[in-house]
Amino acid sequence: MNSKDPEKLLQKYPPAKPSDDKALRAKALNAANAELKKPRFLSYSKRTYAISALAAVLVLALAAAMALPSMFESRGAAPAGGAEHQSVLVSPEMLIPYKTAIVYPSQWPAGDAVGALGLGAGSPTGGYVGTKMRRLAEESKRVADRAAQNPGPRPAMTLVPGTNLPLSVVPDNEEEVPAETEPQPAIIENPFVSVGKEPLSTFSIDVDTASYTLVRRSLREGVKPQPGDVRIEEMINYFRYDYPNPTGDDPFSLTCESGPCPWNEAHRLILVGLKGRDVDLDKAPASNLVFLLDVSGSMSDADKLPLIKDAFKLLVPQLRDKDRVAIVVYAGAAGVVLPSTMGSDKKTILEAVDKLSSGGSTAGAEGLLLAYKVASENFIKGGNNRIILGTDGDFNVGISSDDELVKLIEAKRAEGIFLSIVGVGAGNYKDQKMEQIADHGNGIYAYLDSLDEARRVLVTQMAGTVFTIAKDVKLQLEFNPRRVAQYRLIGYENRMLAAEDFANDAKDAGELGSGHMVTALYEIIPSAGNEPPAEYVKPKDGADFGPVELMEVNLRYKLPAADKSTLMTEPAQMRDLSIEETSDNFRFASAVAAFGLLLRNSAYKGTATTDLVNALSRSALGADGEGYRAEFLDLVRIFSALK
Amino acid sequence: MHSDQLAPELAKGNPQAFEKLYDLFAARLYAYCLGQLRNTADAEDAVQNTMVRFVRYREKFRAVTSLDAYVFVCARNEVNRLRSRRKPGPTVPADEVQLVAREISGDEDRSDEERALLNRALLLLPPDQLEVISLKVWSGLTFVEIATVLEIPSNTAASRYRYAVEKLRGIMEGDNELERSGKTAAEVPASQAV
Repeated sequence: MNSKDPEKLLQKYPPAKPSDDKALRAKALNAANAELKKPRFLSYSKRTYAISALAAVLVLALAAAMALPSMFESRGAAPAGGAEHQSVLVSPEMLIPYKTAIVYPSQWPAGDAVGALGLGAGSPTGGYVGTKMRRLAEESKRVADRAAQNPGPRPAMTLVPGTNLPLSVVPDNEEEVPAETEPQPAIIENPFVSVGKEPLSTFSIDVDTASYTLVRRSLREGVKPQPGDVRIEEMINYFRYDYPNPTGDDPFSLTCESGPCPWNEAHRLILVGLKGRDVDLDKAPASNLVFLLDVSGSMSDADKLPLIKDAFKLLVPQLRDKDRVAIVVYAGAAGVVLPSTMGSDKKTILEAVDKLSSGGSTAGAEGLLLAYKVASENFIKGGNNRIILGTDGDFNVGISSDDELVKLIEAKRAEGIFLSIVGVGAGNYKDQKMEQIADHGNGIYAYLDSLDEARRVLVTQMAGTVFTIAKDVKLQLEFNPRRVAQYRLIGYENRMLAAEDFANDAKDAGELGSGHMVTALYEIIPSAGNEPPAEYVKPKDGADFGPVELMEVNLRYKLPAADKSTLMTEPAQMRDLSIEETSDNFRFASAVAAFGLLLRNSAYKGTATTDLVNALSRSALGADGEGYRAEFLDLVRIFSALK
Repeated sequence: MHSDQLAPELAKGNPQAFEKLYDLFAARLYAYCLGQLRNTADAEDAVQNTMVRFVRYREKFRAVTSLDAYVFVCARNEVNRLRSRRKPGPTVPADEVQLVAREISGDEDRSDEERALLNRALLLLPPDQLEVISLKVWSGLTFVEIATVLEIPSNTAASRYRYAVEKLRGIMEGDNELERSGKTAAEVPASQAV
């Protein structure tokens, strides 16, 4: 049949067009123009040559420094107590995926000046080097100022091979690393500790999960994450585990499990899991939230949109299934980036948040009208219907006057839709105007200066309660010297506490929110004999271990309003489980830990391989309703392809 | 501005030149990206990202000999980039993506059934065959240009196109293995198909 000649048909029927030609054209040309306006350090094509040249210079300089240490030592007299001996080892591979490397010594010797080194590297994923160079200049100035404030004899700085200088690399990602952030020091992993010498292991809980996000972003861009970004506890705690709900008056449940260590046959692994009580939110009315976010160019500073995004990510886990969230943005044009989505679909919400980026000019009125429209369409009768406007105050209303704006807001309030405002950034922030607007909208007005504040505010917005269920939560494990020879806490490097801090209520520790989970893994070397080592001294108030117990878990916390801490104690026995007998919790957490060890190329990775990680996590996918574990498998696949 | 003079103007960073470039290529780029990504939002992203890349690497236009080929090389890179970043999720059912324009007004000769048949058949093609068809018919590239874009010899480009057309004919005549096995091309992971 002639009409079925494919070539003729293809000529006859044109291809599909974008659903909104004009919008796409405007968007694409806007983006192109924005790119055109960016100042450039060098053209991208020339930049590659610049990197190679700079890297070569750097390597030569280092070689010279190592060969001729006396040159460096002659710069000044060493102060009493010895000089700082530091070296930098930088390979071109470390620098190429990044725009800029800033090299810091870990401690600033008084009066010493330190140089900052900038490298421009053309990353295929975008950004430009100008901002980084500016930050670098600011950083150098800060250092110089500090040096000027501390005049004194210049200590010698010698470059000595074999010692480490923390190297802070600002990734190609302006949101995650604010310019003011102190350099991220390299993580020194917890070592194995002998139970004979230190039977107690004490640390503060940490519910952060940012590291996993960094790792994920990095891998998806086809770049191995920097070891300093891989905080294993944050990776493990990114996932939810099937821990029992707390019973009685305790604000959490405690779960302990021990099984084989997947990456070392001779070792065992202990899992300690905490699950915070779920505050009964069901009685609170459902929320219909529409976030109206200013994504104009002025919002790109680290303390603005990125802060709102981070705060958002903290809020999302708190959403109940019956809540709804939508995101409307405004800049050059207003648009819905997330249609009203049920609280149960957290993944979709988080993905929408991740995609937010700033650029363009501000036209707030259109955004506000659109937000009201979305809120009305998803109105929950008797619920918390609220628009939350996030802006740096550059709110070009468009509606001819403030009076008109106020009228609109008041009319919507009468319909039951409230307006709250969260302000960020310092710049041209119009504080009074914002407060006034929020007042008319029956809303709360808040200013965010930090992530903690952001969390508090956003979570409060949702149901009028702060969901923290316990603060200053500390864990202390006491190991039975008859059973355990050595132990190593995986991760939590910067959360370690001294044993005596455990009972010291003045010592700060982490907070636990409603439904939060915290998981810690210990890798242990079982004791060969059945007697404690000679050097073992039973700690004060230590447990009376029999031959069976493995350890005792002590936990201290304060209720949100309390000043005095409460103690919980749980003895744990070691059952010799085989890997098949262990729970999904255990296998999945150990898979994530093993992956972290691989990403860090840790000295403790043992026989871990991506195949092991893959097999372990596949065997422990559980219900995985939100698809996080499946996504983890995807990252493992990407990583093994990178190798 | 004639398209011959476009490349030097683009290299200079002339905003009007980029506007012209967009108007010349956007529709074809979109069609190409949609065929490869099978998702309208991703296709729109790909078009926009490609535009940004044209600007960012604008110096490269100086050395461009075939603007058409260069444009689609960039688009293809962008498609691969988006594809690698995309999570393997549930695939979109083949008949929900519209590669062929829906509007058939003004032409009595066209019918929606025929259009739907063509659309379905195109979606059943392996991505690399669909790619060559899209570049040849809808983007109007020559086989030499297609060969440049796909990094294959031009003979291969031509024969791949012939195979693709034959396959398309086969699918439309209902005499196709893929169809009989009940599998759609959309279910075949791109890594296997390419």
